[in-house]
Amino acid sequence: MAEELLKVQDLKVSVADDEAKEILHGVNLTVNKGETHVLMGPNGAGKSTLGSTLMGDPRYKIDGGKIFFEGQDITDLTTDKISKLGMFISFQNPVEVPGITLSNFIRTAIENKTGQHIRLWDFKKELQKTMELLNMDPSYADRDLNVGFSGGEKKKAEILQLLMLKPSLAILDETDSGLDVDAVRTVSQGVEEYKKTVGGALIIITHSTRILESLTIDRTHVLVSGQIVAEGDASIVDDINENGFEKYINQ
Amino acid sequence: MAKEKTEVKDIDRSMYDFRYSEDDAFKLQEGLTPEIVAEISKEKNDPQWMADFRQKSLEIYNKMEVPDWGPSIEGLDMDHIVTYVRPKNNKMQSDWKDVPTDIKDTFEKLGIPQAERKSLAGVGAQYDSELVYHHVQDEVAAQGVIYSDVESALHGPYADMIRDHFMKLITPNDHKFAALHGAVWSGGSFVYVPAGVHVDIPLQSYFRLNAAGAGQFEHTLIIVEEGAYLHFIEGCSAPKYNVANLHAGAVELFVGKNATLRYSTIENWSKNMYNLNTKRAKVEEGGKIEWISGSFGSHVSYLYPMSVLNGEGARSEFTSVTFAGKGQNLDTGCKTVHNAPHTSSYVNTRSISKDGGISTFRSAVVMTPKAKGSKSSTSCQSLMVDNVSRSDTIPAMDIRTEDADVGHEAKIGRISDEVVFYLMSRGMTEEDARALIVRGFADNVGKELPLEYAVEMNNLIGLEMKGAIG
Amino acid sequence: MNDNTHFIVNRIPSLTWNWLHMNETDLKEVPAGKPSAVSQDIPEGISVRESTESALSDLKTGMGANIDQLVKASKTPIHVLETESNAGRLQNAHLDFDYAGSNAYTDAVEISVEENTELTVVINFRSKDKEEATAALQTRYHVAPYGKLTLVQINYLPDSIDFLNDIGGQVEDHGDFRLIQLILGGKNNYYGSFTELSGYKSNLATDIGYIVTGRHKLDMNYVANHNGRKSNCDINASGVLRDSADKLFRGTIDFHRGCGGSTGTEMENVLLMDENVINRTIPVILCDEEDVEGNHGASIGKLDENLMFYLQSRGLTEEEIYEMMAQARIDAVAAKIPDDEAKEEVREFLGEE
Repeated sequence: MAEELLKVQDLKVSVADDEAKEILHGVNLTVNKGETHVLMGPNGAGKSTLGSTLMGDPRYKIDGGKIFFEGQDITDLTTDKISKLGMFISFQNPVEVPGITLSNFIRTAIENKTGQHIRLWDFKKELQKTMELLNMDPSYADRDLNVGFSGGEKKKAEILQLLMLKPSLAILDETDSGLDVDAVRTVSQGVEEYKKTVGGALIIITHSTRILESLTIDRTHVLVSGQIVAEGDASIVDDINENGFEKYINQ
Repeated sequence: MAKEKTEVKDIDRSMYDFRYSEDDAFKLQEGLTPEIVAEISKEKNDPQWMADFRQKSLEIYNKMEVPDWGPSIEGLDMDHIVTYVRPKNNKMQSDWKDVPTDIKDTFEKLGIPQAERKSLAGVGAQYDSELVYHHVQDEVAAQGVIYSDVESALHGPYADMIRDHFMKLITPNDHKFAALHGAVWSGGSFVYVPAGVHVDIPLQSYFRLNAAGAGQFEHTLIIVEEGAYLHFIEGCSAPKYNVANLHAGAVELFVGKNATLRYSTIENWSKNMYNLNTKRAKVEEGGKIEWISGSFGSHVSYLYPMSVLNGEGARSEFTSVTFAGKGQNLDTGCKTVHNAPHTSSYVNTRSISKDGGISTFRSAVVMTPKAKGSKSSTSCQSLMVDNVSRSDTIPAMDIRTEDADVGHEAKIGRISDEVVFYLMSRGMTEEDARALIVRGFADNVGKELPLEYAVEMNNLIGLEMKGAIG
Repeated sequence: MNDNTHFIVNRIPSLTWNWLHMNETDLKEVPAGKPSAVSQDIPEGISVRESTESALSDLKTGMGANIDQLVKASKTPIHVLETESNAGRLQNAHLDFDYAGSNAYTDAVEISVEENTELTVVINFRSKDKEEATAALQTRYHVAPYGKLTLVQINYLPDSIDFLNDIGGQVEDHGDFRLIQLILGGKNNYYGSFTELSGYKSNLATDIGYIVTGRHKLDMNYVANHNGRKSNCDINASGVLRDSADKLFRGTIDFHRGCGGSTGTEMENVLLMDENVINRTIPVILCDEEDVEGNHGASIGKLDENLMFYLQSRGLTEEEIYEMMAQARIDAVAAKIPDDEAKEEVREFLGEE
């Protein structure tokens, strides 16, 4: 039997603001270890909100429901603790962080996560190899994190972190959006590499299908107006690809 | 703003806070009278003109008012500040092993001799009112570079040069504390770099105030002749006492035609210090002054290095970071006067306020009618780390030529939740994430400092950010 | 302060170096004057009366207490304009101040906009006779929750008149105050405005357009005082200095503790046309609250070289370009006036028909 990794129960979420507006109205979702899930839905459906909330984003407020990760209730955990348990998110718009280089940042994050010192030499070698895989210019390692990176390089830097941090669940929030064909291919290769070498689970938030072409999809969820309105296998992806979200919206 | 108290309980500053007994130091009595000033003249064997200058400055000091703007200096009781403290066995040495043990230990702990061996062309170390150590590398001296204390220069071959420049740029009439400086100045450095000489590695002065309730009034006079280059580093610290200490130094920099002077400061006075320091540079045709300034210590600071761009094409760059923590009111910034055609100035400042600290960025850009074709660009950013602190931005511009290009940008904000979330999503704790963001914010200065100093600055920020989650 | 030798106006909330002479302006002596001739066109839904009592006298103004004392000493009646609640959008009210027959004028206006009511008041300043005179006007306003007041002031004065124009008021929850000022005439102009943004989501938008010529002065002090949460201000000053004009702009965004979520932006854009102009600016941001965003930008001086090159490549001379850009600055402010008649008159005045 498949081993449960993430379980989301009746999750209700609003913006943590004084004019609270509920965005997710009772979402249920289960992801088993090593599975690949796709989360689709029109703009404004709440896909990114769901991804961020799983990661403990304080800008969202959980009004009801629970989130379990590896059997542990993580509903009230802070983001760093959730990360250390093995969850990862590739952000849609990665922020720029002046003052720390990409390389130093990844090394600090790995050491934080494992609690162990890694030898600089070993780290550099692995980083270099992984950057090569992602067609990243090695000079990016010594540039400040995301500062002045193009959209494509930012996304690659996210996948680089994914491969270096080796989480058991990775949420990819629109990782393919805004990329040209070549970059999508590179990013897809990175994701494949993650499946192959780490064997972790994926939740892929997307509204296109290009990034999915080389992956085996276990389950697809369609989110409309803060609710999961349809679930099924990979065939839903093809259906949406052909006919759009219309029939789900009108449900 | 008058409600601030000197009482501070804060982070571990033990590496700066150690102190030694001052039992056998020679101390003048507290306060300020013509007799005390005459005593200083006698102690220092002043030439007559200097003795007269001190007395005249004292008269001016007594006539002037304290500023009616800026942070309160009520806690500073001038009648009880000791203006002159000569360390015991005072004799300036050019070898660390001849410096009295506890004084030497102080500088060892601050890492000065180590830094000298590694990366400095020369070092001056002042302890209370007098220089205790001065040394310059032989090859630098061979280039004709003079680096000495001001007192001996007053009696040496450069006596006339000192007289021609001393307090000509910062006159006692400028403000009350400039007048005070004129009356009681002691110690400091004189640097002369002859035309065309490029000093490849930096010179450093370190100022240490050990005595409680005392003032430090060192005078730094640097003359960089045509086409020469110098990087001068200034460091300051003091242990913490419960009585107010005062620092009213003066820095006068003369940058010749096509010369460049970089003046870097990491200031880490203890948090009972009133830092009322005056710094000024005059830049001739094609010359350049570069100020790099990190202000971390002191209870109250008034610090606005001024650049007077006096020759065609003269330039100034001012890069600074100010970090005001608990009990601190740091009023910092800069003044730039464009007084010749095609001059340019560039200002990039960051201020951080935390734990009830107040930081104020204050500036003035003045362009006279002579400044045709001049440019000025200012960017100042302030970061509020929590909701009990304060940050003000008070920039002024006075432009009197139409042929000018003046740009100014100011931004005040908080640490972005989005960035904190991003860093935490990679496993960093909130405290570490916020400290990282603040270090990145201060990177404008960090990038400009030699490595060891950048590391020291980052450590200071790290210390200040401990327990920053409110 | 207001003894026989000093008349202090436009004092900045946070002082700086005295040698800059920007902290405040001392007019020495301003005579209390008589009321000017006011012609008005007040549509339905607005009550108008003249009063000797001020209901809003507690509200601070931009120019400061000496103007209050001047108004009091002059015993000038206050023109009070009031709306009903829930009146929706009212038609524009017009007031014309005509300065004639005296060498000193003092006037006062009070405007109260009640809940869910929207009002625009257009005030023109002119003088048919060209006698030397000093004119002072103090305007106070109050905007109730969900109310909106747009105050348009256009200065068409001849260069024989020194003008003091003082404004102060308060904006409550979700209220909106818009101030549009065009300074096209007058000899020496002193303008001040203080806005108390006490309400949650209260908003202030200020647009100032000016042309200063000759040896005239323009001395300004604008303060946005943020106390309400999520309050916002936008202060834009845009102008042209010619001849030996002397301009001083003080702008302060003051974020007080408790105004979390507030934002404030100040922008200044000054075109310097002649060699002897004096342009002084002090854009202050005071911040006693963490959760705010304050921005200031200023661009002073010549036109951008790329822009110059682009326009010259289209066949314009440097002088034509400067004239065009100067005009464009005023036009951009005039375009914001929500009153066709007033807009038209500005165009006519600038000779742009």
